[in-house]
Amino acid sequence: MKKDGDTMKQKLIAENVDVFYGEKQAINNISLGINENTITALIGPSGCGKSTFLRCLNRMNDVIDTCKISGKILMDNTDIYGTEVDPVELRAKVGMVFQKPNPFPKSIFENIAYGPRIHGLASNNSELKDIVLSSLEKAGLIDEVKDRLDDQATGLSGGQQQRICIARAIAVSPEVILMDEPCSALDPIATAKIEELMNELSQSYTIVIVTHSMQQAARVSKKTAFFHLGDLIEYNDTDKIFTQPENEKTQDYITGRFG
Amino acid sequence: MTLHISSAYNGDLVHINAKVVEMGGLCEQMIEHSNKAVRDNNIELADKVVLLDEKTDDLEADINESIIRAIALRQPVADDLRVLFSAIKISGAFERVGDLCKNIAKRTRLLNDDPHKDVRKSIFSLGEKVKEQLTRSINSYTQQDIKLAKKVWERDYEIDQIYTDLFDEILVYLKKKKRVAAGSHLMIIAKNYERIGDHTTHISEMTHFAITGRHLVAERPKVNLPI
Ligand SMILES: Nc1ncnc2c1ncn2[C@@H]1O[C@H](COP(=O)(O)OP(=O)(O)OP(=O)(O)O)[C@@H](O)[C@H]1O
Ligand SMILES: [Mg+2]
Repeated sequence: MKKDGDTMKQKLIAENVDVFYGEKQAINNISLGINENTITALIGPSGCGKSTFLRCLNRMNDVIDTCKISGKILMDNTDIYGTEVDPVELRAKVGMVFQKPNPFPKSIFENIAYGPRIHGLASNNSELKDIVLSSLEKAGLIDEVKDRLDDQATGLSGGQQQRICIARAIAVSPEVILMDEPCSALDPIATAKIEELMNELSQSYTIVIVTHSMQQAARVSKKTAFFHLGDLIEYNDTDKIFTQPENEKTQDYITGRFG
Repeated sequence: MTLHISSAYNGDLVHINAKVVEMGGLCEQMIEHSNKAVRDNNIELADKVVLLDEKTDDLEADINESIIRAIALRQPVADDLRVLFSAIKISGAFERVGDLCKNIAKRTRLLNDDPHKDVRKSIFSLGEKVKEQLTRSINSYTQQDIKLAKKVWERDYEIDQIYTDLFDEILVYLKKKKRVAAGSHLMIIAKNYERIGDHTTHISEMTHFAITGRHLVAERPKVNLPI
Protein backbone atom coordinates (compact mmCIF):
# COMPACT_ATOMS: atom_id res chain seq x y z
CA MET A 1 0.00 0.00 0.00
CA LYS A 2 1.13 3.53 -0.77
CA LYS A 3 2.31 5.53 2.19
CA ASP A 4 2.48 9.02 0.77
CA GLY A 5 1.76 10.52 4.19
CA ASP A 6 5.29 9.95 5.34
CA THR A 7 7.04 11.96 2.66
CA MET A 8 4.72 14.93 2.98
CA LYS A 9 5.69 18.30 4.35
CA GLN A 10 4.83 18.79 7.99
CA LYS A 11 2.83 21.95 8.49
CA LEU A 12 2.79 21.82 12.26
CA ILE A 13 5.24 20.13 14.57
CA ALA A 14 4.68 19.70 18.29
CA GLU A 15 7.82 18.95 20.27
CA ASN A 16 7.68 17.73 23.87
CA VAL A 17 4.53 19.66 24.68
CA ASP A 18 3.32 19.66 28.29
CA VAL A 19 0.16 21.48 29.33
CA PHE A 20 -0.87 22.24 32.91
CA TYR A 21 -4.09 23.70 34.25
CA GLY A 22 -2.81 25.00 37.58
CA GLU A 23 -1.13 22.00 39.21
CA LYS A 24 -2.90 19.48 37.07
CA GLN A 25 -1.09 18.18 34.01
CA ALA A 26 -3.44 17.64 31.05
CA ILE A 27 -0.91 16.80 28.30
CA ASN A 28 2.29 14.84 28.84
CA ASN A 29 5.29 15.42 26.64
CA ILE A 30 3.57 15.14 23.29
CA SER A 31 5.54 15.21 20.05
CA LEU A 32 3.58 14.99 16.85
CA GLY A 33 3.97 16.20 13.26
CA ILE A 34 0.92 17.21 11.24
CA ASN A 35 1.13 16.85 7.49
CA GLU A 36 0.28 19.74 5.23
CA ASN A 37 -2.99 19.59 3.26
CA THR A 38 -4.03 16.47 5.06
CA ILE A 39 -6.82 15.67 7.50
CA THR A 40 -5.52 14.47 10.84
CA ALA A 41 -7.94 13.08 13.42
CA LEU A 42 -7.43 13.23 17.17
CA ILE A 43 -9.35 10.54 19.04
CA GLY A 44 -9.47 9.31 22.61
CA PRO A 45 -11.71 9.07 25.65
CA SER A 46 -13.27 12.12 27.22
CA GLY A 47 -10.77 14.18 29.19
CA CYS A 48 -7.70 12.72 27.50
CA GLY A 49 -6.57 16.15 26.30
CA LYS A 50 -7.68 16.31 22.66
CA SER A 51 -9.22 19.78 22.91
CA THR A 52 -6.34 20.97 25.05
CA PHE A 53 -3.85 19.85 22.42
CA LEU A 54 -5.93 21.32 19.60
CA ARG A 55 -6.11 24.66 21.39
CA CYS A 56 -2.31 24.69 21.71
CA LEU A 57 -2.10 24.81 17.92
CA ASN A 58 -3.61 28.30 17.69
CA ARG A 59 -2.82 29.52 21.20
CA MET A 60 -6.45 29.45 22.28
CA ASN A 61 -5.13 28.25 25.64
CA ASP A 62 -3.55 31.68 26.16
CA VAL A 63 -6.92 33.02 27.24
CA ILE A 64 -7.17 30.49 30.09
CA ASP A 65 -5.37 32.03 33.08
CA THR A 66 -4.37 28.80 34.79
CA CYS A 67 -3.10 27.20 31.61
CA LYS A 68 0.69 26.79 31.20
CA ILE A 69 2.38 25.30 28.18
CA SER A 70 5.94 24.13 27.75
CA GLY A 71 7.67 22.55 24.78
CA LYS A 72 7.58 23.83 21.25
CA ILE A 73 4.98 24.14 18.53
CA LEU A 74 6.35 24.98 15.13
CA MET A 75 4.32 26.09 12.16
CA ASP A 76 6.38 26.18 8.97
CA ASN A 77 9.41 26.02 11.27
CA THR A 78 8.43 29.10 13.25
CA ASP A 79 7.73 28.72 16.96
CA ILE A 80 4.15 29.95 17.29
CA TYR A 81 4.80 30.79 20.94
CA GLY A 82 7.73 33.02 19.93
CA THR A 83 7.65 36.62 21.19
CA GLU A 84 7.31 38.08 17.71
CA VAL A 85 4.16 36.10 16.94
CA ASP A 86 0.86 37.98 17.32
CA PRO A 87 -1.74 35.49 18.59
CA VAL A 88 -4.56 37.31 16.81
CA GLU A 89 -2.79 36.99 13.48
CA LEU A 90 -1.92 33.41 14.29
CA ARG A 91 -5.59 32.62 14.84
CA ALA A 92 -6.40 34.00 11.40
CA LYS A 93 -3.86 31.57 9.93
CA VAL A 94 -5.04 28.76 12.16
CA GLY A 95 -8.81 28.96 12.21
CA MET A 96 -11.11 27.03 14.48
CA VAL A 97 -14.56 25.48 14.20
CA PHE A 98 -16.25 24.41 17.41
CA GLN A 99 -18.56 21.64 18.49
CA LYS A 100 -21.65 23.82 18.65
CA PRO A 101 -22.21 26.07 15.64
CA ASN A 102 -21.69 29.55 17.04
CA PRO A 103 -22.60 32.14 14.41
CA PHE A 104 -22.77 35.75 15.64
CA PRO A 105 -26.33 37.06 16.07
CA LYS A 106 -25.94 39.02 12.87
CA SER A 107 -26.73 38.58 9.20
CA ILE A 108 -25.20 35.78 7.17
CA PHE A 109 -23.17 38.37 5.26
CA GLU A 110 -21.85 40.03 8.42
CA ASN A 111 -20.83 36.71 9.92
CA ILE A 112 -18.48 36.03 7.04
CA ALA A 113 -17.42 39.66 6.47
CA TYR A 114 -16.39 40.23 10.09
CA GLY A 115 -12.99 38.51 9.93
CA PRO A 116 -11.80 39.91 6.60
CA ARG A 117 -12.85 43.35 7.78
CA ILE A 118 -10.90 43.34 11.06
CA HIS A 119 -7.87 41.82 9.34
CA GLY A 120 -8.12 44.42 6.57
CA LEU A 121 -8.26 41.83 3.81
CA ALA A 122 -10.56 43.87 1.55
CA SER A 123 -9.90 47.38 0.34
CA ASN A 124 -13.47 48.13 -0.64
CA ASN A 125 -17.00 46.80 -0.39
CA SER A 126 -16.95 44.96 -3.66
CA GLU A 127 -13.80 43.05 -2.65
CA LEU A 128 -15.41 42.24 0.66
CA LYS A 129 -18.46 40.90 -1.10
CA ASP A 130 -16.25 38.73 -3.30
CA ILE A 131 -14.57 37.25 -0.24
CA VAL A 132 -17.93 36.54 1.40
CA LEU A 133 -19.36 34.89 -1.70
CA SER A 134 -16.28 32.80 -2.43
CA SER A 135 -16.09 31.67 1.21
CA LEU A 136 -19.74 30.59 1.09
CA GLU A 137 -19.00 28.86 -2.18
CA LYS A 138 -16.05 26.97 -0.70
CA ALA A 139 -18.16 26.02 2.29
CA GLY A 140 -20.73 24.52 -0.08
CA LEU A 141 -23.41 26.87 1.15
CA ILE A 142 -23.78 29.44 -1.60
CA ASP A 143 -26.84 27.96 -3.32
CA GLU A 144 -28.68 27.66 -0.04
CA VAL A 145 -28.10 31.24 1.15
CA LYS A 146 -27.30 33.46 -1.83
CA ASP A 147 -30.79 34.99 -1.86
CA ARG A 148 -30.89 35.64 1.88
CA LEU A 149 -27.50 37.06 2.79
CA ASP A 150 -29.17 39.68 4.99
CA ASP A 151 -31.11 37.13 7.03
CA GLN A 152 -29.99 36.30 10.56
CA ALA A 153 -27.43 33.46 10.53
CA THR A 154 -28.97 32.10 13.73
CA GLY A 155 -32.12 31.31 11.75
CA LEU A 156 -30.34 28.67 9.67
CA SER A 157 -30.39 24.95 10.42
CA GLY A 158 -27.62 23.50 12.61
CA GLY A 159 -25.80 22.00 9.65
CA GLN A 160 -26.02 25.26 7.72
CA GLN A 161 -24.83 27.21 10.77
CA GLN A 162 -21.84 24.91 11.04
CA ARG A 163 -20.99 25.53 7.40
CA ILE A 164 -21.35 29.29 8.09
CA CYS A 165 -18.73 28.82 10.80
CA ILE A 166 -16.50 27.00 8.33
CA ALA A 167 -17.05 29.77 5.75
CA ARG A 168 -16.19 32.29 8.47
CA ALA A 169 -12.95 30.45 9.19
CA ILE A 170 -12.09 30.24 5.50
CA ALA A 171 -12.84 33.93 4.87
CA VAL A 172 -9.62 35.07 6.55
CA SER A 173 -7.53 32.80 4.28
CA PRO A 174 -6.25 30.41 6.93
CA GLU A 175 -3.66 27.74 6.31
CA VAL A 176 -4.86 25.42 9.00
CA ILE A 177 -8.40 24.69 10.18
CA LEU A 178 -8.92 23.13 13.60
CA MET A 179 -12.25 21.45 14.23
CA ASP A 180 -13.38 20.31 17.64
CA GLU A 181 -16.20 17.78 17.21
CA PRO A 182 -17.74 19.80 14.40
CA CYS A 183 -20.52 17.31 13.62
CA SER A 184 -21.63 16.21 17.05
CA ALA A 185 -24.84 18.24 16.79
CA LEU A 186 -25.61 17.29 13.19
CA ASP A 187 -27.69 14.62 11.48
CA PRO A 188 -26.07 12.08 9.11
CA ILE A 189 -26.79 14.11 5.97
CA ALA A 190 -25.46 17.38 7.38
CA THR A 191 -22.50 15.37 8.72
CA ALA A 192 -21.85 13.85 5.31
CA LYS A 193 -21.90 17.33 3.76
CA ILE A 194 -19.36 18.65 6.28
CA GLU A 195 -17.17 15.59 5.74
CA GLU A 196 -17.29 16.01 1.99
CA LEU A 197 -16.48 19.67 2.44
CA MET A 198 -13.50 18.79 4.66
CA ASN A 199 -12.29 16.41 2.00
CA GLU A 200 -12.41 19.16 -0.65
CA LEU A 201 -10.86 21.74 1.66
CA SER A 202 -7.99 19.40 2.52
CA GLN A 203 -6.56 20.02 -0.95
CA SER A 204 -5.62 23.53 0.12
CA TYR A 205 -5.84 23.52 3.91
CA THR A 206 -4.33 21.48 6.70
CA ILE A 207 -7.17 20.18 8.83
CA VAL A 208 -7.06 18.78 12.34
CA ILE A 209 -10.30 17.33 13.66
CA VAL A 210 -11.21 16.09 17.11
CA THR A 211 -13.98 13.55 16.94
CA HIS A 212 -15.68 11.04 19.19
CA SER A 213 -16.97 9.12 16.20
CA MET A 214 -14.57 6.37 15.22
CA GLN A 215 -16.42 6.04 11.94
CA GLN A 216 -15.93 9.73 11.26
CA ALA A 217 -12.21 9.55 11.97
CA ALA A 218 -12.00 6.51 9.69
CA ARG A 219 -14.03 8.15 6.93
CA VAL A 220 -12.35 11.53 6.74
CA SER A 221 -8.81 11.39 8.02
CA LYS A 222 -5.55 10.24 6.55
CA LYS A 223 -3.72 10.15 9.86
CA THR A 224 -5.08 9.37 13.30
CA ALA A 225 -3.62 10.11 16.71
CA PHE A 226 -4.94 8.26 19.73
CA PHE A 227 -4.67 10.09 23.08
CA HIS A 228 -5.17 8.55 26.48
CA LEU A 229 -4.84 10.31 29.86
CA GLY A 230 -2.79 13.09 28.31
CA ASP A 231 -0.40 10.71 26.51
CA LEU A 232 -0.12 10.20 22.79
CA ILE A 233 -0.46 6.42 22.59
CA GLU A 234 -0.38 5.80 18.87
CA TYR A 235 -0.10 7.91 15.74
CA ASN A 236 -0.28 6.33 12.32
CA ASP A 237 -2.04 6.14 8.98
CA THR A 238 -5.76 5.94 9.63
CA ASP A 239 -6.21 2.72 7.67
CA LYS A 240 -3.48 1.11 9.76
CA ILE A 241 -5.02 2.28 13.03
CA PHE A 242 -8.41 0.84 12.10
CA THR A 243 -7.24 -2.48 10.69
CA GLN A 244 -4.07 -3.25 12.58
CA PRO A 245 -3.43 -0.96 15.53
CA GLU A 246 -0.13 -1.58 17.24
CA ASN A 247 -1.08 -0.68 20.76
CA GLU A 248 -3.59 -2.68 22.76
CA LYS A 249 -5.04 0.46 24.34
CA THR A 250 -5.77 1.83 20.88
CA GLN A 251 -7.42 -1.41 19.89
CA ASP A 252 -9.51 -1.59 23.05
CA TYR A 253 -10.69 1.99 22.56
CA ILE A 254 -11.62 1.88 18.88
CA THR A 255 -13.39 -1.47 19.23
CA GLY A 256 -15.41 -0.34 22.24
CA ARG A 257 -13.70 -2.41 24.92
CA PHE A 258 -12.49 0.35 27.22
CA GLY A 259 -13.66 -0.68 30.68
CA MET B 1 -8.94 -10.71 25.78
CA THR B 2 -10.82 -7.71 27.11
CA LEU B 3 -14.56 -7.87 26.58
CA HIS B 4 -16.52 -5.23 24.73
CA ILE B 5 -18.57 -2.79 26.75
CA SER B 6 -21.59 -3.94 24.75
CA SER B 7 -22.55 -7.39 26.00
CA ALA B 8 -24.78 -7.87 22.96
CA TYR B 9 -21.76 -7.39 20.70
CA ASN B 10 -19.76 -9.89 22.73
CA GLY B 11 -22.70 -12.28 22.44
CA ASP B 12 -22.78 -11.90 18.64
CA LEU B 13 -19.06 -12.60 18.34
CA VAL B 14 -19.28 -15.61 20.65
CA HIS B 15 -22.19 -16.96 18.59
CA ILE B 16 -20.32 -16.57 15.31
CA ASN B 17 -17.21 -18.19 16.71
CA ALA B 18 -19.21 -21.11 18.11
CA LYS B 19 -20.81 -21.73 14.72
CA VAL B 20 -17.46 -21.67 12.94
CA VAL B 21 -16.08 -24.20 15.44
CA GLU B 22 -19.18 -26.33 14.97
CA MET B 23 -18.65 -26.31 11.20
CA GLY B 24 -15.06 -27.40 11.75
CA GLY B 25 -16.24 -30.30 13.89
CA LEU B 26 -18.64 -31.41 11.17
CA CYS B 27 -15.87 -31.27 8.59
CA GLU B 28 -13.67 -33.47 10.75
CA GLN B 29 -16.47 -36.02 11.00
CA MET B 30 -17.05 -35.86 7.27
CA ILE B 31 -13.46 -36.46 6.32
CA GLU B 32 -13.17 -39.26 8.82
CA HIS B 33 -16.23 -40.97 7.30
CA SER B 34 -15.03 -40.31 3.74
CA ASN B 35 -11.66 -41.86 4.48
CA LYS B 36 -13.20 -45.03 5.84
CA ALA B 37 -15.85 -45.12 3.13
CA VAL B 38 -13.08 -45.10 0.52
CA ARG B 39 -10.90 -47.65 2.27
CA ASP B 40 -13.66 -50.12 3.20
CA ASN B 41 -16.10 -49.45 0.41
CA ASN B 42 -18.56 -48.49 3.15
CA ILE B 43 -21.72 -47.11 1.54
CA GLU B 44 -23.42 -46.40 4.84
CA LEU B 45 -20.66 -43.99 5.86
CA ALA B 46 -20.74 -42.41 2.42
CA ASP B 47 -24.45 -41.69 2.94
CA LYS B 48 -23.72 -40.09 6.30
CA VAL B 49 -21.27 -37.71 4.65
CA VAL B 50 -23.94 -36.53 2.23
CA LEU B 51 -26.27 -35.76 5.14
CA LEU B 52 -23.58 -33.91 7.11
CA ASP B 53 -22.84 -31.72 4.11
CA GLU B 54 -26.34 -30.25 4.30
CA LYS B 55 -25.67 -29.26 7.88
CA THR B 56 -22.47 -27.43 6.98
CA ASP B 57 -24.33 -25.52 4.27
CA ASP B 58 -26.95 -24.42 6.80
CA LEU B 59 -24.31 -23.38 9.28
CA GLU B 60 -22.47 -21.32 6.68
CA ALA B 61 -25.68 -19.49 5.80
CA ASP B 62 -26.27 -18.79 9.50
CA ILE B 63 -22.71 -17.51 9.94
CA ASN B 64 -22.93 -15.25 6.89
CA GLU B 65 -26.16 -13.75 8.12
CA SER B 66 -24.75 -13.09 11.58
CA ILE B 67 -21.63 -11.50 10.15
CA ILE B 68 -23.55 -9.21 7.81
CA ARG B 69 -25.66 -8.13 10.76
CA ALA B 70 -22.59 -7.49 12.92
CA ILE B 71 -20.93 -5.44 10.19
CA ALA B 72 -24.07 -3.36 9.62
CA LEU B 73 -24.88 -2.80 13.27
CA ARG B 74 -21.46 -2.65 14.92
CA GLN B 75 -19.13 -1.30 12.24
CA PRO B 76 -16.29 -3.48 13.49
CA VAL B 77 -12.69 -2.32 13.25
CA ALA B 78 -9.21 -3.62 14.11
CA ASP B 79 -9.16 -7.18 15.48
CA ASP B 80 -12.97 -7.40 15.46
CA LEU B 81 -12.98 -6.65 11.76
CA ARG B 82 -10.21 -9.15 11.09
CA VAL B 83 -11.97 -11.83 13.14
CA LEU B 84 -15.21 -11.37 11.20
CA PHE B 85 -13.45 -11.23 7.85
CA SER B 86 -11.63 -14.45 8.70
CA ALA B 87 -14.82 -16.08 9.90
CA ILE B 88 -16.33 -15.43 6.47
CA LYS B 89 -13.32 -16.94 4.74
CA ILE B 90 -12.93 -19.88 7.13
CA SER B 91 -16.59 -20.85 7.07
CA GLY B 92 -16.40 -20.59 3.28
CA ALA B 93 -13.44 -22.96 3.34
CA PHE B 94 -15.33 -25.41 5.57
CA GLU B 95 -18.26 -25.29 3.20
CA ARG B 96 -15.93 -26.23 0.32
CA VAL B 97 -14.39 -29.01 2.41
CA GLY B 98 -17.91 -30.32 2.97
CA ASP B 99 -18.65 -30.26 -0.74
CA LEU B 100 -15.44 -32.07 -1.55
CA CYS B 101 -16.10 -34.76 1.07
CA LYS B 102 -19.57 -35.19 -0.34
CA ASN B 103 -18.14 -35.57 -3.80
CA ILE B 104 -15.69 -38.20 -2.51
CA ALA B 105 -18.55 -40.04 -0.83
CA LYS B 106 -20.69 -40.02 -3.96
CA ARG B 107 -17.89 -41.35 -6.11
CA THR B 108 -17.18 -44.04 -3.52
CA ARG B 109 -20.70 -45.31 -4.01
CA LEU B 110 -19.87 -45.86 -7.66
CA LEU B 111 -16.84 -48.01 -6.85
CA ASN B 112 -18.88 -50.86 -5.49
CA ASP B 113 -16.60 -53.75 -6.36
CA ASP B 114 -13.16 -54.38 -5.09
CA PRO B 115 -10.31 -54.87 -7.51
CA HIS B 116 -8.91 -51.44 -6.50
CA LYS B 117 -8.03 -52.43 -2.97
CA ASP B 118 -4.45 -51.20 -3.12
CA VAL B 119 -5.35 -47.89 -4.68
CA ARG B 120 -8.06 -47.41 -2.07
CA LYS B 121 -5.47 -47.98 0.62
CA SER B 122 -3.16 -45.39 -0.86
CA ILE B 123 -5.97 -42.88 -1.12
CA PHE B 124 -6.85 -43.65 2.49
CA SER B 125 -3.40 -42.70 3.65
CA LEU B 126 -3.61 -39.44 1.69
CA GLY B 127 -7.02 -38.87 3.33
CA GLU B 128 -5.56 -39.49 6.78
CA LYS B 129 -2.79 -37.00 6.14
CA VAL B 130 -5.33 -34.43 4.99
CA LYS B 131 -7.50 -35.15 8.01
CA GLU B 132 -4.53 -34.52 10.27
CA GLN B 133 -3.91 -31.16 8.58
CA LEU B 134 -7.59 -30.28 8.86
CA THR B 135 -7.63 -31.08 12.57
CA ARG B 136 -4.51 -29.03 13.12
CA SER B 137 -5.91 -26.07 11.20
CA ILE B 138 -9.11 -26.25 13.27
CA ASN B 139 -7.05 -26.43 16.46
CA SER B 140 -5.03 -23.44 15.38
CA TYR B 141 -8.33 -21.56 15.01
CA THR B 142 -9.98 -22.69 18.25
CA GLN B 143 -6.83 -22.29 20.32
CA GLN B 144 -5.78 -19.08 18.53
CA ASP B 145 -2.38 -20.65 18.03
CA ILE B 146 -0.37 -18.79 15.40
CA LYS B 147 2.59 -21.18 15.63
CA LEU B 148 0.38 -24.12 14.80
CA ALA B 149 -1.30 -22.13 12.02
CA LYS B 150 2.08 -21.46 10.47
CA LYS B 151 3.06 -25.13 10.72
CA VAL B 152 -0.07 -26.24 8.90
CA TRP B 153 0.58 -23.67 6.24
CA GLU B 154 4.18 -24.79 5.81
CA ARG B 155 3.32 -28.46 5.54
CA ASP B 156 0.84 -28.36 2.68
CA TYR B 157 3.62 -29.52 0.34
CA GLU B 158 3.62 -32.93 2.06
CA ILE B 159 0.08 -33.49 0.86
CA ASP B 160 1.00 -32.29 -2.60
CA GLN B 161 3.87 -34.77 -2.59
CA ILE B 162 1.67 -37.71 -1.62
CA TYR B 163 -0.92 -36.67 -4.18
CA THR B 164 1.67 -36.50 -6.94
CA ASP B 165 2.84 -40.05 -6.17
CA LEU B 166 -0.72 -41.27 -5.96
CA PHE B 167 -1.52 -39.74 -9.32
CA ASP B 168 1.18 -41.86 -10.92
CA GLU B 169 -0.01 -44.94 -9.08
CA ILE B 170 -3.57 -44.49 -10.34
CA LEU B 171 -2.32 -43.86 -13.85
CA VAL B 172 -0.44 -47.15 -13.85
CA TYR B 173 -3.49 -48.89 -12.45
CA LEU B 174 -5.70 -47.37 -15.13
CA LYS B 175 -3.40 -48.51 -17.92
CA LYS B 176 -2.82 -51.99 -16.55
CA LYS B 177 -6.35 -52.95 -15.60
CA LYS B 178 -8.11 -50.91 -18.25
CA ARG B 179 -10.62 -49.77 -15.65
CA VAL B 180 -11.20 -46.33 -17.08
CA ALA B 181 -14.42 -45.41 -15.23
CA ALA B 182 -13.22 -46.55 -11.82
CA GLY B 183 -9.78 -45.11 -12.43
CA SER B 184 -11.26 -41.72 -13.27
CA HIS B 185 -13.31 -41.66 -10.09
CA LEU B 186 -10.27 -42.61 -8.04
CA MET B 187 -8.27 -39.88 -9.73
CA ILE B 188 -10.86 -37.25 -8.89
CA ILE B 189 -11.19 -38.54 -5.33
CA ALA B 190 -7.45 -38.11 -4.90
CA LYS B 191 -7.62 -34.62 -6.39
CA ASN B 192 -10.45 -33.72 -4.02
CA TYR B 193 -8.30 -34.64 -1.05
CA GLU B 194 -5.50 -32.51 -2.39
CA ARG B 195 -7.91 -29.58 -2.64
CA ILE B 196 -9.16 -30.12 0.90
CA GLY B 197 -5.50 -29.78 1.85
CA ASP B 198 -5.43 -26.38 0.14
CA HIS B 199 -8.46 -25.30 2.15
CA THR B 200 -6.78 -26.29 5.43
CA THR B 201 -3.88 -24.05 4.44
CA HIS B 202 -6.30 -21.22 3.81
CA ILE B 203 -7.98 -21.74 7.19
CA SER B 204 -4.59 -21.41 8.86
CA GLU B 205 -3.70 -18.34 6.83
CA MET B 206 -6.92 -16.66 7.86
CA THR B 207 -6.45 -17.65 11.49
CA HIS B 208 -2.99 -16.13 11.42
CA PHE B 209 -4.35 -12.96 9.81
CA ALA B 210 -7.17 -12.59 12.35
CA ILE B 211 -4.72 -12.80 15.22
CA THR B 212 -1.79 -10.79 13.88
CA GLY B 213 -3.17 -8.60 11.10
CA ARG B 214 -0.35 -9.91 8.92
CA HIS B 215 -0.55 -12.29 5.99
CA LEU B 216 1.65 -15.36 5.78
CA VAL B 217 3.61 -14.58 2.65
CA ALA B 218 7.12 -15.93 3.04
CA GLU B 219 8.30 -18.59 0.63
CA ARG B 220 7.10 -22.02 1.44
CA PRO B 221 7.88 -25.35 -0.18
CA LYS B 222 5.84 -26.02 -3.29
CA VAL B 223 5.39 -29.14 -5.35
CA ASN B 224 4.48 -28.95 -9.01
CA LEU B 225 1.23 -30.83 -9.33
CA PRO B 226 0.55 -32.95 -12.42
CA ILE B 227 -2.71 -31.02 -12.87
N1 LIG C 1 -10.07 25.30 31.45
C1 LIG C 1 -9.67 24.23 32.15
N2 LIG C 1 -9.33 24.34 33.45
C2 LIG C 1 -8.92 23.29 34.17
N3 LIG C 1 -8.82 22.03 33.69
C3 LIG C 1 -9.16 21.84 32.40
C4 LIG C 1 -9.60 22.92 31.56
N4 LIG C 1 -9.85 22.42 30.34
C5 LIG C 1 -9.60 21.10 30.40
N5 LIG C 1 -9.16 20.75 31.62
C6 LIG C 1 -8.77 19.39 32.06
O1 LIG C 1 -7.76 18.90 31.20
C7 LIG C 1 -7.99 17.56 30.86
C8 LIG C 1 -8.13 17.43 29.35
O2 LIG C 1 -9.31 18.09 28.95
P1 LIG C 1 -9.73 18.27 27.44
O3 LIG C 1 -10.90 19.19 27.39
O4 LIG C 1 -8.54 18.65 26.65
O5 LIG C 1 -10.16 16.79 27.09
P2 LIG C 1 -10.85 16.21 25.77
O6 LIG C 1 -10.04 15.06 25.34
O7 LIG C 1 -11.09 17.30 24.79
O8 LIG C 1 -12.23 15.67 26.35
P3 LIG C 1 -13.70 15.65 25.65
O9 LIG C 1 -13.64 14.50 24.71
O10 LIG C 1 -14.61 15.37 26.79
O11 LIG C 1 -13.93 16.95 24.98
C9 LIG C 1 -9.22 17.14 31.61
O12 LIG C 1 -8.83 16.50 32.79
C10 LIG C 1 -9.92 18.44 31.92
O13 LIG C 1 -10.66 18.34 33.10
MG1 LIG D 1 -12.83 18.20 23.97
